[in-house]
Amino acid sequence: MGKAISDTVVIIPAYNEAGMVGEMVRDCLAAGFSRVVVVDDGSDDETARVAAGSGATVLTHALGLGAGGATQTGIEYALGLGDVKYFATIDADRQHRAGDLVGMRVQLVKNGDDIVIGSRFMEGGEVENIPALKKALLRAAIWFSNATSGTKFTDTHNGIRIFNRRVAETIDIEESGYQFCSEILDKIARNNYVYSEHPVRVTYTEYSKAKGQSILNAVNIGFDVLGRKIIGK
Amino acid sequence: MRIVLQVVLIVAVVAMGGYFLANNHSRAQAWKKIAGSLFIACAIFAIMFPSIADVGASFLGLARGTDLILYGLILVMIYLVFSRSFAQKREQERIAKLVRKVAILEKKMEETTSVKKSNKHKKS
Repeated sequence: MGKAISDTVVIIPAYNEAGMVGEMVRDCLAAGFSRVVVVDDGSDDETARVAAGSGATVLTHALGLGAGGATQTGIEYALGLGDVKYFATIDADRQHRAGDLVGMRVQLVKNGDDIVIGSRFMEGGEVENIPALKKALLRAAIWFSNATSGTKFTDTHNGIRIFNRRVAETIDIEESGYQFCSEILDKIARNNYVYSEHPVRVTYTEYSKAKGQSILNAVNIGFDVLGRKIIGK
Repeated sequence: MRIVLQVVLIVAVVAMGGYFLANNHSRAQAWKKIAGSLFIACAIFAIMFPSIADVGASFLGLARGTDLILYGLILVMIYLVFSRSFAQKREQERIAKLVRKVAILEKKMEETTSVKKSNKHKKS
C-alpha cells in the first residue's frame, strides 16, 4: 500500500457495475487514494451497496443521467468537501489501473498543469485486447475531436483524468452521456486549461466490452459534437 | 355535404386552437399566442373560402393552393420538431441539476445523522 493521498478525491461514475466496482474501489484505496467517491447513476443492481462495502463514499442518482452527469455530481460533491486539491476520474469497469492515477497526480503537481489526461496510445501507454473495430473508431474519434476542439491529444475518449480545483470549479459538464468526453476537450480549449497527457494501460475484458458504450454510439457522439459546434455551446 | 365538413373543421380548429391558447400561460409566449391566433384565423378563412389558398399560391408563384398549404405545414412541422428538441434539452438539464442536488443533499444528511449518532454514543 502506497502513502495515503488525502488531497485527492477519486470519482467513479457507475451504472450497474456491481460486478467490478468493488474491485475498482479497492484498487484505488490500495494505490493510496483514501477518498473514493462512487456516483451510482440510478443502477438497478447492487452497485451502491458493493461500493459502500468496499470503502467508497456513495452518492446515488434517483434517475440515471449518464456518465457525464454522474461525473459532474462527483465533482460538485468533492468541491463541497473543502480541503480537496485534486480531482480524479476513473471508469468503474476495471479497464483502468488506479496506479496510473498516482503517476498522473505527480505529473500534475510537478508541471503545475490544470489537467492531465490518460492516454493509451502515446508512447509508454498500452492497450490490451482492444477489438479492431473499436480501435479504428477510437482513432477516428481522436482525429475528429482534435479537429473540432483545436486540442492535440493522442487519446480523447479515455475516462482516466486528474485535474485541479480551477478545472473542477469551472468545467461544469453539461452533456449527460458519454459525449462529455468531447465536451471536456472543448472546455480545455475554450477555458485555456494547461493540459498534458500521461501514458496509461487500458485492458478490455469480456466484462468491459459487454458493458462499454456500443460502437454505434460513436455515431451519436459525432453528431452531438457537430451539433454543439453549430449551436456554439 | 361540403358545408357539414366545413363546420366540423372549423369547430375542430377553434376548439384545439382555443385550448392551446388558453393553456399557455407564460408571458414569454405572447408572440406564440399572436401567431396561433393568426393561424386559426387563416385556417377558418381557408376552410370557408378554399379559393383563398389559390390566390395566395399564385401570389407566391405556386401552381395550387394545396401546395401552399403543404409547404406551410412542412415549415410548421420543422419548427415544432426543433423547438421541442431544444425544450427537451433544457428540461433534461434541469432534471440533471435536480437529481444532482438530491444526491448530494442525501449524502450530507446521512453524514450529519451519523455524526450525531456517534456523538450520542460518546455521551452515553
